[in-house]
Amino acid sequence: MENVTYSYEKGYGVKNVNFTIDDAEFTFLIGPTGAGKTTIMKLIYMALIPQSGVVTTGRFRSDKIKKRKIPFLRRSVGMIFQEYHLLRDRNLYENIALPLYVIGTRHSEIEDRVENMIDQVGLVGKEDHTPDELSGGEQQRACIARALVKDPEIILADEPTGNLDPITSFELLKLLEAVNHEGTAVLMASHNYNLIKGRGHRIMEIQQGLLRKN
Amino acid sequence: MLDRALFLIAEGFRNLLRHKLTVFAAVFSVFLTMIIIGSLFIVGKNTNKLIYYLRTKYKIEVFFEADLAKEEALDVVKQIESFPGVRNTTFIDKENATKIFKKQFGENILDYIQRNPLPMSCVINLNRTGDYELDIMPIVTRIESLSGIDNIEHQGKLIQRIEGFHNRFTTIFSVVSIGIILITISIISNTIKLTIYAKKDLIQDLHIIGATNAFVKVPFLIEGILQGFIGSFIAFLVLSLFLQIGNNILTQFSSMTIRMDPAAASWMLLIGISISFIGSLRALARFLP
Repeated sequence: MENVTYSYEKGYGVKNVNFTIDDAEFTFLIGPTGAGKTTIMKLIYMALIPQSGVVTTGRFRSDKIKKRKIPFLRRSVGMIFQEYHLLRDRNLYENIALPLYVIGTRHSEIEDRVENMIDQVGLVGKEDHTPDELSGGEQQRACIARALVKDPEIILADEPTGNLDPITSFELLKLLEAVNHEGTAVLMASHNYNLIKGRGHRIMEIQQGLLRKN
Repeated sequence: MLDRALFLIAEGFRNLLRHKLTVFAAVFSVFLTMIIIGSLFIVGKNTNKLIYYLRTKYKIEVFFEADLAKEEALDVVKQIESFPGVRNTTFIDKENATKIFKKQFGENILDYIQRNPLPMSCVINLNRTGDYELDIMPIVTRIESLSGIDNIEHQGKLIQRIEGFHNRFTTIFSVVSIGIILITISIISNTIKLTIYAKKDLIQDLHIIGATNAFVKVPFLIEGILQGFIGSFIAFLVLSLFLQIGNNILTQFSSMTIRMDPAAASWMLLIGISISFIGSLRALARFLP
């Protein structure tokens, strides 16, 4: 992000933010609720376009991208949310397979990739379960699998542990670290400092839309 | 690419099961519309058949003056034959008129009256213009202008009434059908809008994972096509059943039967699918411009 500013009609947003995330880097974005963490995430996957400055995600620049190209940018970004955003009328397998259909993966390849991913996040045997039949931790693992299955360049995790108990949160963080170890960059937003301290990763702190510490 | 297309088609089918309530509402709307349009179709087609039949039966009967010589009468008949719209003529001289009288009444008129009082006449058959409205009056006016004509019998007024009824029916049929189609498109659009509104989280999630608008839209459109097909197919089956029952009752009183044109089934399906497809397109254009 280069000198990025975005403000909502009711104020706040982010102001003059600058940072870069390298390939395979694990970065925490911390700050209190309403500080601008989600706004930064949305700017990266271009749900918001900055009012000034430029966001570059992979080969896409916010000042040059056409609206119809935004879906292609999002195919290189895996997103994980506090509220999961799994499709409730589909089972675990279908939820994880969906991004592969979106990017046009061959049907014969999809089955292998989805099963590998379910195995990787430890949800074998739950393929036929709908999100409502999974625990919070399992739903968040399913979200990680859905984000990872398309081999993204970066994972954006917006408060992924917000609805989870401390033990499940810690397991999830370890899972994201494992993903990062395989070479995928991770940007994880959190307001739980106890969870992230001492993990040896870069920490960015945002307060009232301003990046205080990087 | 092919796998993705097959997936989207399959999603359209699966959506029928996922959105049961709204699918029922949309299918029911199409069904009711197609019952009304289908009924109008059947009535329209059968009225057309009747009109066509009546048009081929239109004729004019001309009676000649009593003192006109047979040769003169035949000259007049020749002139009438040359008029546009006249298919052929049948000249009936006095002797033939007597035979017809005897055939019809079983008595020979000459047994009661010394001279033959029956006039020479001519039956004029008109061109079988079953496909077009027939205006008999110009031919009648031209015949009236000829000399030697005593009387002209024709069904001009009846024809005008039948043609007038047919024209009014065609206009009402068109207006009512267009009205119903527009109302249904609006109902289906709103039904699908509700479906889409209920699924706005799903659409947002699809966008988040990189789905294009086309990827989101196609299953909804396929769902719309299927709703149209199901609604109009059920309407076709119900109408066929009603026709069958109706004809079974009708044949007890008359030899007439009401038929559904084989092409009507295809039209009903085409109209039903089009209504539903346009309704889906309208709804999607509002939510996913």
